[in-house]
Amino acid sequence: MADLSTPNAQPNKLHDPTPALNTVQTTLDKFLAAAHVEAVYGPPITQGENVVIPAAEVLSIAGFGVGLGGGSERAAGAENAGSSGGGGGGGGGGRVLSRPVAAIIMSPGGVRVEPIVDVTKIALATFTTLGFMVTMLNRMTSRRRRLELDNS
Amino acid sequence: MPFPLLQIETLTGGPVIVKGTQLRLRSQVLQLQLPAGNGGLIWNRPVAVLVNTPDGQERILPVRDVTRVTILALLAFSLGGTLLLMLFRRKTT
Repeated sequence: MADLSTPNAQPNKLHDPTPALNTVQTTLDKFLAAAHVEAVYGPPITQGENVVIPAAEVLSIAGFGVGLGGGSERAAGAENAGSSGGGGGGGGGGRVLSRPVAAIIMSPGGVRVEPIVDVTKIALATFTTLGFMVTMLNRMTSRRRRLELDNS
Repeated sequence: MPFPLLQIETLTGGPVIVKGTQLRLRSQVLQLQLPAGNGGLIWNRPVAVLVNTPDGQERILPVRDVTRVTILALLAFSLGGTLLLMLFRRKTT
């Protein structure tokens, strides 16, 4: 039988966990960066005599999981294990959401905070609210009619 | 560094000095960690700006999220309105 052991063998690059760990570390660093003040306020922007600092709300969500497993095959009656193997894997994901909230404006007249209104979001919420109310009204009316019909 | 399951803290950033006026930006962070410790949520929002003028005056300007307040008001209106309607209809029948 040929000897398969190679004393001067280089480590298998496929099993090197460093790139995966680096990716996890980078992702976690990016996730935790959302907890700093700098994530919410942008750098000051000079426009003529005014200086504007944008402010936004940041929501960062992340999750990950890992799994490991292994086993060995033992021949019947044999004292030593035949072959063994193992493996592992992991995965994760995340999302960062950001929405402008206000702009801090420094003008020669002083400092003021100007809110940024998301009209699209408000319009969508209004239509959803109206839809919910109309649906509830319809359900209540139809139920009442059904009760009236049953009674008559 | 591990952080607790739920943590709310107010952070103040370093001073931003523009034309002699010093600004300190303040934000509020909510950190939520999953029980298994394999993920979480970070919600960071601006809350206020501390202004120090060159003549020594100090003011706190709140940062109001008009969009959120409007949406929450709409939600309260729709839920409250529906509940009132249900109560009113129940009384009339």
